Amino acid sequence: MQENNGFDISIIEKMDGFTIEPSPADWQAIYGRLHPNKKRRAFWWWLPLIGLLTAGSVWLIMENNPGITPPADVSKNKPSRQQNTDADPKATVMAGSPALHQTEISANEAVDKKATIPTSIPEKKKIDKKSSSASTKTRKAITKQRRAYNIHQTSVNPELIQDPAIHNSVATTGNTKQQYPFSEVTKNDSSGLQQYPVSAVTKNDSSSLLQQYPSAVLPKNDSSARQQDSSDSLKKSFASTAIPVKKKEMKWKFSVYIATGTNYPIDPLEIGPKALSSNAPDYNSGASGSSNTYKTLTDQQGWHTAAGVAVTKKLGKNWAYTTGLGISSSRWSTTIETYKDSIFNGGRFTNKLGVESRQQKLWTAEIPLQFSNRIAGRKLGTLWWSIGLNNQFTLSSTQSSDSIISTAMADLRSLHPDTRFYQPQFRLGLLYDYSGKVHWQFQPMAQYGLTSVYKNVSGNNPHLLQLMLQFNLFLSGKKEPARPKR
Amino acid sequence: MMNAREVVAKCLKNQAAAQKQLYEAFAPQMLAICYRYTKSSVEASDVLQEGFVRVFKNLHQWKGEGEIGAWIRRIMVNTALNWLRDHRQMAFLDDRNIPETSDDKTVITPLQNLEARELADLIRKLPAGYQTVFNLHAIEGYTHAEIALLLGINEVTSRSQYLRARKLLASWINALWNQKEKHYAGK
Repeated sequence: MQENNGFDISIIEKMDGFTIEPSPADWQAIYGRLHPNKKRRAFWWWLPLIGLLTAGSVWLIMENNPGITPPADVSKNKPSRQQNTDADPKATVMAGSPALHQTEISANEAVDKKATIPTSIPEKKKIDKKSSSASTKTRKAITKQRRAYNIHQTSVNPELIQDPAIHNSVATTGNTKQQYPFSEVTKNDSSGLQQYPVSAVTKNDSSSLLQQYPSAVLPKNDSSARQQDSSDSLKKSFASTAIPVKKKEMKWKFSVYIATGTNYPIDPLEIGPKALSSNAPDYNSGASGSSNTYKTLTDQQGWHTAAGVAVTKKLGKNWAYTTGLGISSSRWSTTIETYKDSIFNGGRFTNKLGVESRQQKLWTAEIPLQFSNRIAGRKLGTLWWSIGLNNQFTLSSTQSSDSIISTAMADLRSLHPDTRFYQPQFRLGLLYDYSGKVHWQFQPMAQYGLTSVYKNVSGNNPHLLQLMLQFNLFLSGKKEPARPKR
Repeated sequence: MMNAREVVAKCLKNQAAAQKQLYEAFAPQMLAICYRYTKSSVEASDVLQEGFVRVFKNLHQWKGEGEIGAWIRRIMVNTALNWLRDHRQMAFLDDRNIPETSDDKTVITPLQNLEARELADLIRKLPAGYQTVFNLHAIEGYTHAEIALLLGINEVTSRSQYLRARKLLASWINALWNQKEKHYAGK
């Protein structure tokens, strides 16, 4: 027994001092597993682009949706400054081509321009010639009058322009300057304050128009008989040219969507044979050898879900275009089978089979682009088919191993080194549209990746077919937006 | 001499340099352990990699009590056992008829003349069940009760496996020793 204890102790002593220097590939493999490549996860570089796209979409929707356009957007209808300089507002009014409100805007813009750009005021030159103190006083006076004018101006009803007196004055004034349509009338006035349009109009009326018509509604009987007579034809002309502001129809419709489905592998990836490093040392002989590895990878069924917002625009009666912005999540598993032959120079032959199952999780942002064509139905329920491209951008990708039956070889652990950032998906499907009190769509479709999620060594990419059901709920329904008052 | 706590603290911050430092300090010893439990150098390499990945991922569990080397060694042994459980059909023959002290006198231990590598290679030649039990009991110092729990066998089986392993190993050592003696005598 003593002898046996000595045997055990001797073995422990021998083995305690026994060490084997590992190969550098071991550390590389460990390092690779501890520090997976995160280069592709630097998503923040793309945030400005996404922000730009979002802002552009919002602007586009605001632009095309009068229901949510702020009143200040009337300025959009302002004729350009070039138009102002090229066309005499009076002449255009006479010709009757622009709408009534447009004439008003032209006049307002002219006034604005005059008020905000003093250098363009002819009298400014005179002021400049005076002493600085005098100039200061004059500027203060001008500013005061401008303020007073602006206050009045805001209270003047656009229908003032329809007043025969104004039209008469406009019509009878010659050589009107283009930028200041009414300033020519006031040019002979000694007061610099009278150069402003309303003041100019008052000259012909021999009293302030603002005093005559302080309220927004102009009394119809307040015009002189002479003006009435002389402007009959002009009124008719205005009546015929007073085109109401054309209300834009709502072209884009907001919706939110959710989608869910399953992933199916179409072409399982096969890799091999792949020659490993010839420096695979044999611990027994210390000699190098060679190895061949056969590897198969199969992407297995998983699930997919997505949600986001979309906008839809009808293109004629039978076509519609949809785009949006969403986020999606995909999960599936990948099974990797490895068969390895190693033949060492000493003649030793080993082989092994390893199976590893990896869980893949992927988050993507998506910008779907889709065209739909009506197949049947004209009333509440309509059936469409749709075709499109879903632009997916990788936000994050994680792989976690479970049920590792065999740890794979060191230099093959880096299979799928990178995820692709851009993965366009081809879409084809049907769409049922119900447009009642609640407007919704039910959309079964198939989605097929034009590129795979993962890059790999051989370039053969596993493509996933995704069968999905999508539900769209429109926020705007069928309600017509309220028409703005004219 | 590196301060283990400092290195571990850096490893917990996922600093690659510290991880490599810890790896280089213990990898040769751990690879020798993996070598004894497996049948080939490739397998030993796989177990080593898996074991160190576990070490780094669970390093927060080391409370600083005891030597870090002993903690890593325990993880490495557990990894090797898991690996064996998945890859080997270990035949644990429940041979209750073998008395614990049978043939003890036949064990001759000319171990002082053996290289550590030669002894490790002989251990690897043992059948998988013998090899595992012998490693756990004779070298790692586990009791048969603990081995029975680890491997899911009963205590008697563990003891009999160990005795058979020791007997077989002793015979191989003797044979090797005789072979060497003849070799030297011939010269």
